[in-house]
Amino acid sequence: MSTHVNTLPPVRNWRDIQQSIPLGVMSSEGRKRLQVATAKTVGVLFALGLVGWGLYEGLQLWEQNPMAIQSPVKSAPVKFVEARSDGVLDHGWVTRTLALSKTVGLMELDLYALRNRLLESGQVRTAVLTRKFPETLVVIIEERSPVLRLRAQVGSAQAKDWLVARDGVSYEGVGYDATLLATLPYLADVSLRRVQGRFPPIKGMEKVADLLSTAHANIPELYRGWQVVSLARFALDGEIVVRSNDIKEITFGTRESDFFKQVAQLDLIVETGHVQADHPALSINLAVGGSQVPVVFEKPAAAATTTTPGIKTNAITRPAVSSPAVRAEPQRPSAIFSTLYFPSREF
Amino acid sequence: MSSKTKYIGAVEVGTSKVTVMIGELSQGRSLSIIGFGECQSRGVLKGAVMDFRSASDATHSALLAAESNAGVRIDEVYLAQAGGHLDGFYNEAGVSVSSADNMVSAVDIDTVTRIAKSKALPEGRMVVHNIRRPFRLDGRLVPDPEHLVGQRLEVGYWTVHGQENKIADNIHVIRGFNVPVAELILASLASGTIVTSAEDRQNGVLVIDIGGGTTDYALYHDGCAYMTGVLPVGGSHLTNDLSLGLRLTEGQGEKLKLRFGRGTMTARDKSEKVWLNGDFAIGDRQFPRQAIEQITSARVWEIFEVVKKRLGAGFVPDRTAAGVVLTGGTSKLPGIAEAAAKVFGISARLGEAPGYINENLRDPGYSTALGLLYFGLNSSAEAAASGGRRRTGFLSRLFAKA
Repeated sequence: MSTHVNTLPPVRNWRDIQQSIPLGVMSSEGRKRLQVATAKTVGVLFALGLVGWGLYEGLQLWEQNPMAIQSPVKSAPVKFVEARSDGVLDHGWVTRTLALSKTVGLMELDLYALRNRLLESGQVRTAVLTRKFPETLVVIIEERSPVLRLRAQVGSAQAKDWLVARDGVSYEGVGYDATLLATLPYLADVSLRRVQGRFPPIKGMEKVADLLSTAHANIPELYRGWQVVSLARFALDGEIVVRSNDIKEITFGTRESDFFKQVAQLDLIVETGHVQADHPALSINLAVGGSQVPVVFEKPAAAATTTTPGIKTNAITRPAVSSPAVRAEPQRPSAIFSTLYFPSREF
Repeated sequence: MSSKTKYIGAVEVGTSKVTVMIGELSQGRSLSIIGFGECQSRGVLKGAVMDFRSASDATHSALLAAESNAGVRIDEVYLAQAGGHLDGFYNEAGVSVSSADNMVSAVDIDTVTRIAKSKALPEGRMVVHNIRRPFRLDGRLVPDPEHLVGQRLEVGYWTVHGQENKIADNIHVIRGFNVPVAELILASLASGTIVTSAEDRQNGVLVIDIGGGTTDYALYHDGCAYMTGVLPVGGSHLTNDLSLGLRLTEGQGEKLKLRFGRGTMTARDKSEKVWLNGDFAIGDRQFPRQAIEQITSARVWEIFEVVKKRLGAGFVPDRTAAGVVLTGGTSKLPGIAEAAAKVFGISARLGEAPGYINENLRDPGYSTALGLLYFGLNSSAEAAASGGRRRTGFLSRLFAKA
C-alpha cells in the first residue's frame, strides 16, 4: 500500500502556479513597489558583502601578518602621564611608582598590573588608568586620609610611624605635611600581623575615626592634648581609651553610636573646673552612660601617705555643686549638660 | 512595523465590485481591521477575469485606496476565488490499520489522506481546496484517529477544482501589484465562516452567497464543509431580467431592482404602478409593481432551485438544522429569505457578521472579505501553534517507503 501511495500521480494545486509575472504586466504602482523591494534587497546584499569582505580582509591580514594589525596602535610610545589625585600624592610619585619604560607603547601597557602597582601603596584607595590616544596615560587616584599614627617595627628594621585610615588600612604615608602628622594621636594596643606582606585592616577604626572627628570638631583644645588611643578594651568591652596630656585615661563607650554626648560630658567636666592642674584626674569613664561619670583623681601630695597610690576609687556621689557655671558660649557641647548632676571630688 | 506584526490584505475581485480590507496581524494571534478600499469592478464576468488590464486597474485602485486608508503596505494577500468554472467532487479512501495492535499511527493517517486526495483531474484543472470530512474508524466518526484502536480507517475529501488559466489570471492580477498571494480561498467558504457560528456548522447549515455575477454556496455538516459550488448567476441577472422584461437600460433596471425588487411576491393589485425615477422629469415612466416583483422573485426562486438541484442528495433538510443563511449583496433583496425557506423547506435568515465587526463593515456584501481576514488570522495562529508540534518525521516516512 505504501509503495502504491508513493507512486500516486501528483495532483496539481493552485500553489503550482508561477506567481512571478513579467515587468510589463505590472501596474505602475506594482513596478514602484518592485523597485523599492529590489533596492532594499540590493542594499542589504551590498551591506552583507561589505561586512563579509571586511571580515575576509581582516582574517587574511591576521593570518599573514598579525603584527601589522597591532603595529599602528603600538607604534606610539607613552609620552605623558597625566596624574590627578584628591590627596597629597603628586605626579612624581605616580611616575616613580608606575616606573614605565620610555619606549613602551600605549597599547602595550598592562593597565591592570599598573593599577595593582599603585594600589600596593595603602595610601591609594582607588586608581583608574585610562589610555588617552595617541600618547597619554591618564591616572586618576583617590587617596585615604590618615586618622591615627601607629608605631611599628617590621622585622629587624627600625621602628617607624605608619598611618592608619578610617577603614583600618595602615600604610606608610607619603607627601604629608609633618606638622599635620604630628597632631595625630598614636594608636596603641593593637596586634598587627602581616598577611602576604601587608597588614590586614584594623577592626574598630571606623568608631575611632568617628570619635576623633567629633572631638576634633567640638573640643579642639582638649583634642590637641590627646596622645594615644588604645583599643585594648575595644574587642571585649567596646571601649576606646584615650590618654591625653591632662588626663591619664579617658574611656569612651561605643555602645551608643553618637560620641557627641560623651564628648560634651568630657568638655563639661573639664570646663566646670573639676579637673585642674593641681588636681589632675587619673581617669574619666564616659562609657558608663547616663548622667553619671566616674572620675578618679590623683591624691594630693599631703594625702598620699594615707591612701594607697594607684588605687582608683569611683567618684559617683551626689553633687556638691548645685550652681552650674555661667557660660559665655552656649553653643559648646557641654552646655547641654548644664543642669545635670556632676561627680564630686574625692580626696 | 515590528517583526511580529504583519499586514494582510483580503481581496475579493467580484463581478460588480472589488473589495479590499487590510488587517493588522499582531503576534499571529489578534487581528485589527485598519484599512478598507472599494472600487467598481471592470473586466470581470461571472467571477472570471476577462480583461486583464481593466481588472488590474480596478483591483489596484482598491488596493491603493485601502493602503492609503490604513497608512501601511500590504505584506501578503488572501484572495477570494469565485467563478462559474469552479467545480467539486467527493472522493474517499480507506486503509487497514497497519500496526499489529491495531492502533492508528500517523503513517496510517498520512496514507489514507494521500490516497483520498490523489484523484486525477482533467487536463487544465487544478485543485483549489481539499476539504476533509471527519475520519471514520470502523464506521464511527472521529475527529482525530491517531492512537485510537480500530481496523479500518476511512476518510473523504471534497475537492474543489477550477480552470488553471482562470485561477492564474486571478492571481496575476494581484501579482501585478507586486504583492504575493498567501492563500486562495473559496469565496463561499470565506463568507460561510463569518456569517455562521461553529454551532451552526456543527448542526448543519447551508450558506448561499449571492453576489453580482455568481452565487456561491457551501453546505456544512458536522462542523465542516460537505459540499460547495458556484452558479454563474447572480444579482446582475436580476437586473438583466428587468431590463429585458420591461425594456429598460441596465442602469434603469438596476435602479428598479434596488427600489422595488423582491424575493417573493407581495403585490396583488395588477394596476399598482411605481415610477422609475419619481422626479416627474422627462423620461420618467411608470411600471407595474407586480411585474417587477414577478421578474425578480422568479429569478431568485430559480437560483435557489438550481442550488438545491446541485446539492442533490447531499442536502437533507433534517440534517440542516441551522437552516439556510443568505449573504452577499443580493441578499439585501426584501423577501429573499422567505423565498429560500419555501424552496429548501427549512428556516432561512440573512447572515450577519459577528457583533465585534465595525457597523460600517457589517453589510452582507463584505462578508467574503471579512471571512478572508478570519482565514488569515486562523492560518497564522495555526502556524504559530504548530511551531513546536510533532510532525511525521523523516524516519516515519522512511519506514513508510520501506
